[in-house]
Amino acid sequence: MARKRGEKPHRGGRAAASAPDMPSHASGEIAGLQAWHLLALGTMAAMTAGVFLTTGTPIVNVVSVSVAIATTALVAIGIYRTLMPLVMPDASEQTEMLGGRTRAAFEREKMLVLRSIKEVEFDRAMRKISDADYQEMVGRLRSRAAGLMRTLDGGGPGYRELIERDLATRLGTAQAPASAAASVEQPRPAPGVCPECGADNGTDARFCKACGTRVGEAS
Amino acid sequence: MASLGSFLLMATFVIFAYALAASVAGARRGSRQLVESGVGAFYLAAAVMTVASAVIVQAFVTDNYSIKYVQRYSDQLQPMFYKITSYWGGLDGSIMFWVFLLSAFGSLAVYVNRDRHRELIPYVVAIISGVQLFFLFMMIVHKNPFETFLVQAPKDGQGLNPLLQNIYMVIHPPSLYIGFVGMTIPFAFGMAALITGHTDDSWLRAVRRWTMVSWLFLSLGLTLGMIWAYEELGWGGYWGWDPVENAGLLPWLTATAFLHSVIVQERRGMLKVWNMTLVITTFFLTIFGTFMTRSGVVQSVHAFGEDRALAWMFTVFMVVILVFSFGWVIKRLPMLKPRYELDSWISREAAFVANNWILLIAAMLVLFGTMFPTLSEALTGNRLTVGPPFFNRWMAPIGLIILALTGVAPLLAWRRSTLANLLDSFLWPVVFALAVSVGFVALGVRVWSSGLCFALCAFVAATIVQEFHRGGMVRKEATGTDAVTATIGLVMRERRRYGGYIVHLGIVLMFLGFAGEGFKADEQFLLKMGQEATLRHFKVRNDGVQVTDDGQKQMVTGRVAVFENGKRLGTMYPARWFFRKHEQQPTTEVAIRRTAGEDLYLVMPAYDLKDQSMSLQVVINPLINWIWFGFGILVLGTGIALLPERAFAFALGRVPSETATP
Amino acid sequence: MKQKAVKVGITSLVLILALAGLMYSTLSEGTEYYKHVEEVMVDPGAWHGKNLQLHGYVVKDSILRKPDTLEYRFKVQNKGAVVDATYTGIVPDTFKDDSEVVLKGKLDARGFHVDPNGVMAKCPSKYEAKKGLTGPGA
Repeated sequence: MARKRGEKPHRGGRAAASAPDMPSHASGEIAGLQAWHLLALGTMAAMTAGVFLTTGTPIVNVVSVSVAIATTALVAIGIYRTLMPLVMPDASEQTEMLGGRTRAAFEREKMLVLRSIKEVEFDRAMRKISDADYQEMVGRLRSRAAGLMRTLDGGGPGYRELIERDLATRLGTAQAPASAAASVEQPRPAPGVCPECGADNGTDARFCKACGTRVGEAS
Repeated sequence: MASLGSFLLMATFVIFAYALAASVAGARRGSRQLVESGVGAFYLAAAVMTVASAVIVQAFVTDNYSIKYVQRYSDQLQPMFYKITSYWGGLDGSIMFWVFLLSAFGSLAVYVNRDRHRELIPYVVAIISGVQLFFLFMMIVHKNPFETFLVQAPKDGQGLNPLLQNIYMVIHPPSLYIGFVGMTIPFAFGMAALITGHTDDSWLRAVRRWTMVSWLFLSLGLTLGMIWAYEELGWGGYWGWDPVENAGLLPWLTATAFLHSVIVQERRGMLKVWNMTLVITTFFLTIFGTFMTRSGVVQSVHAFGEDRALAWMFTVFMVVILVFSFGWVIKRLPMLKPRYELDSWISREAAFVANNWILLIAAMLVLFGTMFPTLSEALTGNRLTVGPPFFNRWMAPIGLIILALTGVAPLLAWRRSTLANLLDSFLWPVVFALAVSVGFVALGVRVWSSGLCFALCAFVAATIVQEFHRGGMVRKEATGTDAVTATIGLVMRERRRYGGYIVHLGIVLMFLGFAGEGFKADEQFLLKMGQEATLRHFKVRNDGVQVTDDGQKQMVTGRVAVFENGKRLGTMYPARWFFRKHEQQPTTEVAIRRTAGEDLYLVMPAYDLKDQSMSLQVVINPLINWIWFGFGILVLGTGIALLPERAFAFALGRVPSETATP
Repeated sequence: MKQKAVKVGITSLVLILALAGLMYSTLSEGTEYYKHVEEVMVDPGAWHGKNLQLHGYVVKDSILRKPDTLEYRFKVQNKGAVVDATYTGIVPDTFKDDSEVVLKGKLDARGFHVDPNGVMAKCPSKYEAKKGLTGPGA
């Protein structure tokens, strides 16, 4: 558990409350970075000034002033984060999306699936799982991992169609749409079967449990 | 300042309301902007609560007695440290502290998971905001910590009860609050998973560390409470089945079940309904526990006092929680179908199911016993209480079953264990346990519950050692290194599992300590000057009573010479302290002599300075220090299990390539 | 689906029966009635022999202790009703004149006999935040 947002009052009033916690945000990386850098610097400057101005008064005043400035900065950031998205609609879409989910989500799931595979192998080495069960579990996990890695490397489901189409147009326009359509036109998958990786999800699934693409409803 | 504080609380209420509305609207309409704005508001609320906290602490530090809360829990002479920590010393402040903690934790949880679990975030924000709205509402209309005196404020404060001016009382409540508040996060993620339909195990992965850390702080809070009761309250024990003790224990039990049950869902896609139920119940019990201790529904040593309005507000909130949560569970039942059914009762899955049941039953029993007075009064008009005998009688066998499961479950195979499996896994631990039992019987141990406990402790300890040994051998084969490196690498590679085993070892040691209660000795003597008394192999002698003063308090100290089997051990000084302005509530300063085998515990409740006589309570607590030591091991194990993925990468090293690598 | 419903039904039934059994066994022994002095003294005979937690206030100047022993004799009152009490053992710091007390013990013709470590006394001043009742073996 890393850094903690929000800060309890502390002595000295140095460490700018705003610094490392702030995610870069808003219109373009550069502009966002500069904004919170400025805020951090401004806060530290204000706190230093505050400390100087209150020298000679009881330490309580010094701490109070520093804390007041730091918390005001925090509140300012909060207000910014609340109002910015409403005012600048396209500012926030920086994260890479693959299908319906973010790349980060896929990366994490891939890592967890691979870790599960290792755990299952360890269980088998410790004789806690029969060979038949091991094959079944590892098989399922491996196909899920493969699906995830394909999604990550391929840039998303539907990539195959894009490549086919692109390939076809480079090879020859006339044949392109037909062959593209033909190559893409696979037999309609049975309900619940994932078109991407083939796993069977049951009829009421909305997301494939192996590779995460949308099933059931329109993708 | 006080009006600023009240304003901040109201502002926070509005901000959380907006966060809830924006997140839900944004999620339903697919509007990223609204969701982002809602999340921003969520962070803003945390910032504002930080300011509010700063305001109240500043009020304490500057002795602002126009605020009733400050006047109640502080005074001029109070050390600065205790002035600051009085923030959470009383009811109103503790609720604000709860809101502050939850806003901070919520912000952290949302920030960390904003990309990995984007689809869940709006509802996580909404759920946490909803909880916050309740507590803020309660503060604003009923228990405002910033409330001022309408007339002239008193010149000095009443001061914190001297019984509370010690280090345990500073750490114990925040630790428990962190534990309680932390359980809101898994609940929020679980509900978000239900509402959005992402009922696979992704939400479990998001909340695993949160649950573990909260569980750790709950354990810490409970253990600190035990230590405090033992060292400060002076009745010779550490757990009285007091309603507030039980309030902390209840969510701990279900959280323990949850921590284990998620493993089955991750591995085999089963127990999904169980996991939802457990996470909802754990959160519910944290609210219920808060309700119990604050509304005066159950009178106890800790109760904050009778308060009807509070009781009603909490009741409505709890009903809403239950209806909302379980309503969604029922609605999403088709999605919570397990991937597999239970194949055999002799399998690890079955052991985990048994574990869930037994912990849930334990929680229900404790809840029943705690609420019994209220229930009986409501139903029959007579207020009946159940005391420690009831709890001990039922919880002792349950504790033993849990201890047994701790040893059995890790040894069982997934899906089904064959006879060969069982023989292979259980042979040595069972033999060892039997040998230990025979040894104890030969030594003359006759207390059956403690004896059985010793046998089970031996069994579980043996299973843990066996797991380490076998795992080390497996890794040694795979990596070709020596046994020690292999074992360390093993623990670092399988952190959750082996960290868990170390936690189990800690539990075993704690049970060892609990078992010592069966051999406790407790006597009271009235001793004149120079008179001696004997309890088992100890002899004590009254060597007089002295009075000293250090400005803050007057200390009446007894000098007691102690002998063991005739040999002089030294002098112990049980005392009574009388704090200025609190002379009516003297504290009891217990004298304890600690060894690995037992504690000698002396209390001097009364004395006569004129004739130098004292009444003395002498208690012998065998094995009690294993509880505290075991807890230390538990913390170590949890720490290992919590280590982030990339720690100790250098030690993980080389494993041949046929095993999967990240 | 039906099999599942049956399983849930049976489990619930077992749990309810267990709870009922528990309630019954708890009621039949070990529980203590929490009563105020005046409630009991209305008809003392009815309460003889029952485990009681008696709530009341120590009558001023009524605490007597046999010298050189830990035997106490005192009076407890509430709303005008008074009862004699006897106790042997250590009393908590807060046990004095006018203290609010809860006494665990049994009533008989000679008075109320408090169990060992059965005296719980509240601070005579206002209800504290965290420490109300104090007593050995709380």
